[in-house]
Amino acid sequence: MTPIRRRRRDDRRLLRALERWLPPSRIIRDPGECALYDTDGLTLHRAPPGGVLLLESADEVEEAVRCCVSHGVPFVPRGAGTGLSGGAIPLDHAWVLDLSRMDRVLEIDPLERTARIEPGVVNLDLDRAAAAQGLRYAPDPSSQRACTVGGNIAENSGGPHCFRHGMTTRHIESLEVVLPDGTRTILAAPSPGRADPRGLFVGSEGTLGIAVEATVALVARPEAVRTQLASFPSLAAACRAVSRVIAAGARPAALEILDRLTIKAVEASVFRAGYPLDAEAVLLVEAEGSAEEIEQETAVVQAACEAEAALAFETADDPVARERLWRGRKGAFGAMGRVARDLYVLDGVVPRTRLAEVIERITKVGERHDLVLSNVFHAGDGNLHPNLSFDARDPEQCARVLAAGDEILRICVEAGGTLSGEHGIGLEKRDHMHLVFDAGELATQERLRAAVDPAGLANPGKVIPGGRGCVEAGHRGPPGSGERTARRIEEVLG
Amino acid sequence: MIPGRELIARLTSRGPETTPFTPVGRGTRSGHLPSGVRALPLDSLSGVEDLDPQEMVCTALAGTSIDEVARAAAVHGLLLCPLLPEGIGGTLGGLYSSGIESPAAPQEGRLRDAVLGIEGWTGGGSPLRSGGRVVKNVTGYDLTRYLCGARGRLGVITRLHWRLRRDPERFQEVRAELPCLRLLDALKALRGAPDATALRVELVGDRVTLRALVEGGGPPVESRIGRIREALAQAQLRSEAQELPRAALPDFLRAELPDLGGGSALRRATVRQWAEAILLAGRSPSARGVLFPWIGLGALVPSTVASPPPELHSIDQWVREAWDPHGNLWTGEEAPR
Ligand SMILES: Cc1cc2nc3c(=O)[nH]c(=O)nc-3n(C[C@H](O)[C@H](O)[C@H](O)COP(=O)(O)OP(=O)(O)OC[C@H]3O[C@@H](n4cnc5c(N)ncnc54)[C@H](O)[C@@H]3O)c2cc1C
Ligand SMILES: Cc1cc2nc3c(=O)[nH]c(=O)nc-3n(C[C@H](O)[C@H](O)[C@H](O)COP(=O)(O)OP(=O)(O)OC[C@H]3O[C@@H](n4cnc5c(N)ncnc54)[C@H](O)[C@@H]3O)c2cc1C
Repeated sequence: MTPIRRRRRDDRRLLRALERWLPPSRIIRDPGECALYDTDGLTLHRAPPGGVLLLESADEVEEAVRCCVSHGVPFVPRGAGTGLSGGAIPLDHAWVLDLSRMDRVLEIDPLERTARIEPGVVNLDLDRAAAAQGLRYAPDPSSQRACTVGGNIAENSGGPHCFRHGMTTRHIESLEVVLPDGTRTILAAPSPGRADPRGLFVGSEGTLGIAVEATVALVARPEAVRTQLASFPSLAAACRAVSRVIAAGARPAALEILDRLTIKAVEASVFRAGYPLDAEAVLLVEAEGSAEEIEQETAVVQAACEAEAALAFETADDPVARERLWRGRKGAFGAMGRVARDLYVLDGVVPRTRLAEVIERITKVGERHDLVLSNVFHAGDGNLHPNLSFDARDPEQCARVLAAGDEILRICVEAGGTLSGEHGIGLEKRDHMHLVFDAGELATQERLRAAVDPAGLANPGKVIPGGRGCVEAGHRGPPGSGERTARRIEEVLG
Repeated sequence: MIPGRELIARLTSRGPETTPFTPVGRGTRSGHLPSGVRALPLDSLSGVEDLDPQEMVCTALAGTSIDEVARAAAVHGLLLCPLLPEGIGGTLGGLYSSGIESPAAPQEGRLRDAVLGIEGWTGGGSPLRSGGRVVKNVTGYDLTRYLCGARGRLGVITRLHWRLRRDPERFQEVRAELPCLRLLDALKALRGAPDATALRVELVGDRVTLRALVEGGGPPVESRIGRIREALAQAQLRSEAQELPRAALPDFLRAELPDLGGGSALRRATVRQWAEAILLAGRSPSARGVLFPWIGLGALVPSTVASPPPELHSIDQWVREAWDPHGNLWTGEEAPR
């Protein structure tokens, strides 16, 4: 390929080129309508797109990218816009390529245990289609009722059950992608001696191209499932119980912790799950397998919890009771959203054995900045989600939230962890990348990006600091914008 | 990052007239290098730096022997992840770079998923780093998974963070012998049974032996084995369960196949394609084959499964030009640049 160099940007000519093949109803230019795409789940930042294209097929995505490239116009793929690191925010007035209409499950093959899908398929819809064949799609972000598998691929998303089953990347067999120069290619298992392009693409946050089709791996649905809930007199005890469970050789499907503030918020909301209000923390553990395996694992989990002076221990086998216990966890962000107008969901990772100590430090950060800070996290993986409640209309509060977020990320990195376990870097943490990588290491990544996207048009300003197209987003746009995201998030939260 | 000055100095010392390098661990899989390619030996870059039995993570330099890491892990009742044959004899960097898939991949993740992070250098001498010691990490591009299996053609790995797993201490197998024309039925039946850690199929003439590996012991494991056998029985296939001695485990897991003669190289295909290929091959009395159906890898003589020629993906080509503009690293082609 001869690398395409960035052409002079011409949005008007781009529009004319698009109008030749895309119906006007699927080209959005009206500023009011465009404003619905100016943010994602990270409502701290907003930036208006140059335009929005509602695309319905891989051919259309290819054509749209080609048009953008020929007219020097940056573009950003978008699934459901639930991303929490600002990945789908169109910096540099990029055009948004909305893929949410490409939502078909094309084929499920029970023998190969794969599903072929379009990128706009909603995560839970894929899982439901797989369930009809006795299978399941394992990665289950809490946003699974709204987020798309294309977005999951771009972020390498996780979810409670990824503790046992692994992140999205483990479940991607092959991808059809439109590269940033508009060429279409298949990324499949490499032949011997070749690098694994799937591994590179998953988690590349729309900066290395757009997934237009995916073949994903499915796993068997467990024969039986048991959800266990233990409550603790301290968060540290809950964290220690998790280490005990793992040390005892148990392999639960999920190990999730909610702290006192979250419990209180959940119990006061529509997501009420019956969590004990006298607890400082609750631990949710899910066991999967045969009846015998579940019994064995329950004994291990119960012993671990008792050793940490658990206040109560409860198990649920039937789907309705299990659903109730999970409702609080899955609705936790929504419940916190009712404590204050906005919620900043952070996503840091630390070694599992350091969870308790790190949370203690993080709590002090919240106090120092006079912010309501709650914790809901994937304890088995050491993946923290400190949540800061605030009002985005108040610039002073926003400044405190950003300052606290910055300190929290530094604490995670200092503890031997990292900036993100599943939400990605996007715009949110782009400028924190230097906490993890030195300038040379970042330059190596930037070189890779520039090699794949020489024109620098694919999702500019994300992931790598100081890279080409690194432009600023406005903080906190006018009230009223971002409704589409708000709506989506409402959907997620039921 | 380990002091790699010497390494980079050597790597980038190549003037236009000299020949490219290729990293070599123990050399168990490097084979004979064509003339015009120089070895960059890494086996002295060795040592387990940190092994945390609680976090189940190990950090070691790339030239550390797999056996040394395995010994260090065994002290804590742990094994390297995924399940690997013991005593292969190579280095951790060689294992990561060789690109051989683990038969236990569907249960445990692929080889690349066992690696939590890497450090190293591009051919042009720039630092490479990705991932780390924590089990979840989406900070920056996932070079860890990208470079796994790249055989040192895009970069030289100097340090790896590797996941460990518990040693189940006991292994059993469910074995069934059947005519090869029943293979597809058997595979479908197994899809409806509890998953085994790995499934190996051996073909001799027109008969196949199906071997499902199950870890551990105790009542839950016995019931799992019982249900695997039940599923086979429902498809009118007789099976037996037996202990798999530890010493026999390497042979079970070995992706390296017995010398099957011409055309027996490992190939990749779907479960259905393999079942058909085995059916065809089984018409010849001299047919031989080994297959790991759930990871789609196998070798077969006579073979009708054609792998596409190893084509360089355009992304690799672009990355190589960006990372190694002077071609310091050998591309793997017979006649080096
Ligand atoms: C309430 C709530 C709970 C959440 N819980 C979790 C959780 O448990 N675990 C978790 O990991 N995340 C979670 N998230 C974050 C978010 O849902 C995930 O990151 C999700 O994968 C985003 O999917 P999306 O379709 O909304 O993508 P978007 O937000 O639309 O896009 C995300 C990124 O992907 C890119 N992109 C989208 N589609 C494609 C494509 N086809 N090809 C290439 N790039 C593409 C975009 O450019 C952007 O960079 C949560 C979010 C919310 C609001
Ligand atoms: C399940 C499984 C089963 C296996 N079974 C066998 C078996 O039966 N027999 C067997 O021989 N192998 C087997 N292997 C492969 C085994 O991992 C390799 O043979 C061994 O690890 C190679 O180590 P080495 O040091 O000898 O590598 P080398 O042969 O020295 O190198 C292998 C390749 O990796 C590259 N390389 C080496 N070190 C580095 C580095 N630090 N950075 C970048 N590139 C590097 C080399 O250039 C070369 O292309 C198996 C692997 C798996 C996963």
